[in-house]
Amino acid sequence: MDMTMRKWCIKSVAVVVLSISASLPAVAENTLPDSISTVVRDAEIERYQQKIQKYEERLAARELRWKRLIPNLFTLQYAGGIGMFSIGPGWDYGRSQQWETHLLVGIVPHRYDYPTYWTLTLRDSYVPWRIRCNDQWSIRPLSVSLSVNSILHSEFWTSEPERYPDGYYGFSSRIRFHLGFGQRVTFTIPEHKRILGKEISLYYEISTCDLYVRQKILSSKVPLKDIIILGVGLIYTI
Amino acid sequence: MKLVKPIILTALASALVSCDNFEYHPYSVHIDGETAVNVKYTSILENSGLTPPFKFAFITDTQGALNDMSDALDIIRQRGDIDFIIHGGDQTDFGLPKEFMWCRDMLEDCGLPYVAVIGNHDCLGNGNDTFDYMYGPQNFSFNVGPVHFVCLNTVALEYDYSHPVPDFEFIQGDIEHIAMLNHNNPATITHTIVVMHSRPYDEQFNNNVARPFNHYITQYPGLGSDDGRIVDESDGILNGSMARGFCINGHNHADDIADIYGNGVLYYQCANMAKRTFFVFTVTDDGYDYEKVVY
Repeated sequence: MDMTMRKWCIKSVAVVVLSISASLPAVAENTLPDSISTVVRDAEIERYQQKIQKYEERLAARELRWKRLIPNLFTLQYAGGIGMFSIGPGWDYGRSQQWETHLLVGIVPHRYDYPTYWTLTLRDSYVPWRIRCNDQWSIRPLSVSLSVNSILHSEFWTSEPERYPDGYYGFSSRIRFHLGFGQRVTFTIPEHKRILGKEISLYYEISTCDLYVRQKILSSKVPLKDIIILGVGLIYTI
Repeated sequence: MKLVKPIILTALASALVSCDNFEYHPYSVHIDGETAVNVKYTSILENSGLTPPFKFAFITDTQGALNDMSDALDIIRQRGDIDFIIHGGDQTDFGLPKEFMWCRDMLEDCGLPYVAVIGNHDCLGNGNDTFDYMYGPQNFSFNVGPVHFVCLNTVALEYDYSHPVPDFEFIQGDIEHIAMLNHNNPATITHTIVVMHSRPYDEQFNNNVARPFNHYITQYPGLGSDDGRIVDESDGILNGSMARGFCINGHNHADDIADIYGNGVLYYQCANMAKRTFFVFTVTDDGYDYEKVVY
């Protein structure tokens, strides 16, 4: 094949390729007038923004829900039938923070042949009134609390071990219910002196537990003073 | 002035620690009053010079019926002829230290020597440890003149086979001790009374060893096959129950006298305190008598 023949072939191929590419439809262009396209775009943006806003609202609501779980009370209690010392977080709620829930971990130190026990307490308190004495001091004349205490040791059981016939004892040696009444003195920390918390309350509580009440009802010979349990403590409000 | 604050704080702290109402837990309270009761009163009884005939009362299963027990103790005190009291276990419902103290204080107030065996309710929670602290070892024995008392823990179900209940090591050692006493000085011990909370074939008893238990206790003087029996006067032959030995138990909340093994060893089962019943046994040189008091 001579040189001219080769050039002709290349040329013809190039022409075919070029003509095919020219015959393809042109890329679609926005044929709408400018004003209409702006309106459509604004509506789209608004929808988009609304979606983002709702998402953010949901996020905020979710955060608020979780924030409510951040405890704002911290309790330290001495005695009271739930441990020598009990410590733990708490939450207050209600219109005037009259309801409280506390979760306490207690320790009952070794005594006689008993080992050291750890306990867990869930306490709900109702503290209906607050009497303000001045800017700093106030009195809460009544607190009513119901506590459920669990002693964490294998010699105590929630339901009877299998070795017993059904309903042999019919009680739980591990779970105790305590009903208590108490009073509080609250000190409000002046704003410029606050480090972390805003109030410190000192309280005492007179309580009794389910088994003591049962034995007292069963027999009047049980001395009343023996079924009374005292406890004192501090509540730090953030 | 600098000292005022520490003094007040120390006084407050010591008040908090010393006042019994500042309770740490219903299962861990300060136990005041008499401890090692069984050790104390068995020693008093052994050294009292008491010899047959003497009387003892058997009360059992208080379980919160303190009013009824108080009435029983009033009767016992007013009679004036009873020398000591045996409590058959279940002083408590829940094994709480305070329950133990209520029962013990009432027995203390009665003014007579007393001993107690452990019951199944007394083991609940840490009641086992409370019993040990307040009463002493759970298996013990003592002699009142020629009468040997063996007090045993028989509430095996509570221990789930983790402890030897009944403890044959203890019983074997006790039998050998009595045999030695009698070998050195014939007829030092002639009677044996076995005290327990639950008896053989109760659900609490380790019934796998119900027969070995009988085998062991019949080696005690007064309970053996060649020991004296109550003679049936109609035909004048030796038969019937053992004359100088018997067992007492509680637990089942009903009165019952049974010859469980058909060998003449009688088990006197007393009802609980709430049924307002107790037993009085009179032990004499050649036998014993039993009386049921219903009030």
